[in-house]
Amino acid sequence: MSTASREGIGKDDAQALCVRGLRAGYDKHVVLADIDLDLQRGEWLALLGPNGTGKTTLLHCIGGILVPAAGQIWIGGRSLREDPRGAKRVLGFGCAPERLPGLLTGRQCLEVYAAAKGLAAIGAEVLELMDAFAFAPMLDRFVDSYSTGARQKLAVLLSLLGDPALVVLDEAFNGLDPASALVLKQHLRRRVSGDACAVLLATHSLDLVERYSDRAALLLEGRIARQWDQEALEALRACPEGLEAALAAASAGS
Amino acid sequence: MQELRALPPGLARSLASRRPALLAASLGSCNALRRSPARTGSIAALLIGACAAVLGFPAIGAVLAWFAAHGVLTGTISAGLFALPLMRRKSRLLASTSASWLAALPVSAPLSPRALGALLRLLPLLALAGLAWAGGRIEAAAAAHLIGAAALGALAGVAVGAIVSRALGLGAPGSQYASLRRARARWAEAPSLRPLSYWPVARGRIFSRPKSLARVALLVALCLPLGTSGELALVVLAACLAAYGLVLLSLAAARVAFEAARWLAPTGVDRRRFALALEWRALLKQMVGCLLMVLLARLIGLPWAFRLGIPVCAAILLASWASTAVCCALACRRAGLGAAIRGP
Repeated sequence: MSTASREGIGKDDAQALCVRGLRAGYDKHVVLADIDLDLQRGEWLALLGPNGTGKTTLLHCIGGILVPAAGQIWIGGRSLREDPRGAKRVLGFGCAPERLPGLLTGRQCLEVYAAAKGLAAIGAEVLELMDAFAFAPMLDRFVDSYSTGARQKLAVLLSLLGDPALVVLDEAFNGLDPASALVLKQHLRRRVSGDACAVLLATHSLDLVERYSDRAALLLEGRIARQWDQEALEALRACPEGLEAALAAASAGS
Repeated sequence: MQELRALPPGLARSLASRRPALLAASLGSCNALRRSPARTGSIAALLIGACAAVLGFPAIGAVLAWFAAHGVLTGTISAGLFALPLMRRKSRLLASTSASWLAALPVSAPLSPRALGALLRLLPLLALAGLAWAGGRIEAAAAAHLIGAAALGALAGVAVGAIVSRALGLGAPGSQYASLRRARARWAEAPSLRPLSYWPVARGRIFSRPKSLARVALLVALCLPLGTSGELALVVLAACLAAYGLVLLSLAAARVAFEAARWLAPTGVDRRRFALALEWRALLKQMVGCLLMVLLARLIGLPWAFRLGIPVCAAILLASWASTAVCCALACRRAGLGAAIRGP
């Protein structure tokens, strides 16, 4: 790759996420190797893969929680290494529910997170989603007393603060009741359809991938083993065994 | 089902339909005693030993008679002992009821009689007074006075505890340690980092829970040389507990700095804003605590404690601020907050 084209990588504002040559791990254990990933605004990418294959590690690298051993990440055209504040300003990261501060109330979490992101106010869309989740009665309770579903709702609300260009969610539908899950799917779809943002969702739910995602990527042993674009997913929807069989074949092939 | 058959059929049916939790707890206790004969034997030996001690030591009779003669003091102590736990009892009962494996049964155990179950704690006193009376250690009138004063005090304590609990909202759902604050009216229109400061304070309360303070109190009491005056012992104990509380608050602030930095890592919040917002309330509490200690030493007329207290408090505050600042810096660095992330 020439210097000029390398300099141009990831700097496009329309590109919500650009990952190049990412390598990451814990101590000497390498979890991710040579990951390249692109995501445009208006796209919903589902990240698939067996347990322990590096999905959460990849999301943690994108969220700036884990420093990669090599490689570069651009979020909304800003380099996470060179301009972390700028990159994080356009990132909506859904933290794991167990990482939420148990000794603060839901309202305090929202307020602190919004202030930490430098927002002048909490957006009306987030407040509307909060109402749609029927989360208002939980606002003044300590997070310690929340159920898994309530924690999940709070984590999602935090990730959507400040109209981010990239929303990163890890198993965000786990523990959500069907009504709330539907509300969230429709909300994310609406945001994505308006080209306002891109969604990167790590999930095991194939139904969600087939019905809501625009693209899917399979992570196996720390590498992206296979990607499906919109046409490929459309074709899989038409098959009786669909994505399940395709995943099994891809896993066996690798 | 042997235990159920041993009960009168009407009582067993009534317990199963109206008080299943009580029945399950009783059956569980019976099973535990049957499974472990050694444990049952040791409990029996302990009870027999306690009875022998009551009957064998005249001093126990004298102590009970003294408490019977000072009915107001006995009642006040009893009221205090019953009021304090009851302030949080309601929320704990609600939590345990909702988490119980019997929660789905169509039985609603009324809460107030269950809260009054706290009064069952009077049973050991009743047994002690009865035994002392039976052994001839105290007179019947003294035993009656003792039980009456303790029972009246307990009732007053239960009432006061319930009223205070309702008035102060101590039974509010949520954490047992963090106190619920009123939300700011403009929390959504002008969000602030200020609520972050409640986190280390709440963690500090968890660290300095009574169980942890009791160990320190015991250690300090054991370290006091024989012949120390009661006044001096109390001052030393209070100062040690207060200093321990301050140190625990520093430890809490340090631990929360790492947790909060990790939570806020994806936001890119500025390091200084983060550190200030997180730690100011804990540091202010420490400063107020130190000032109170020094002032109290002055007020109770202990010039040596006053002279010693100022440098000790200053040293504690300085060490605390320095350690907190270092921990915040380390936490921010580890979480990659506010600065360019280190490359490979």
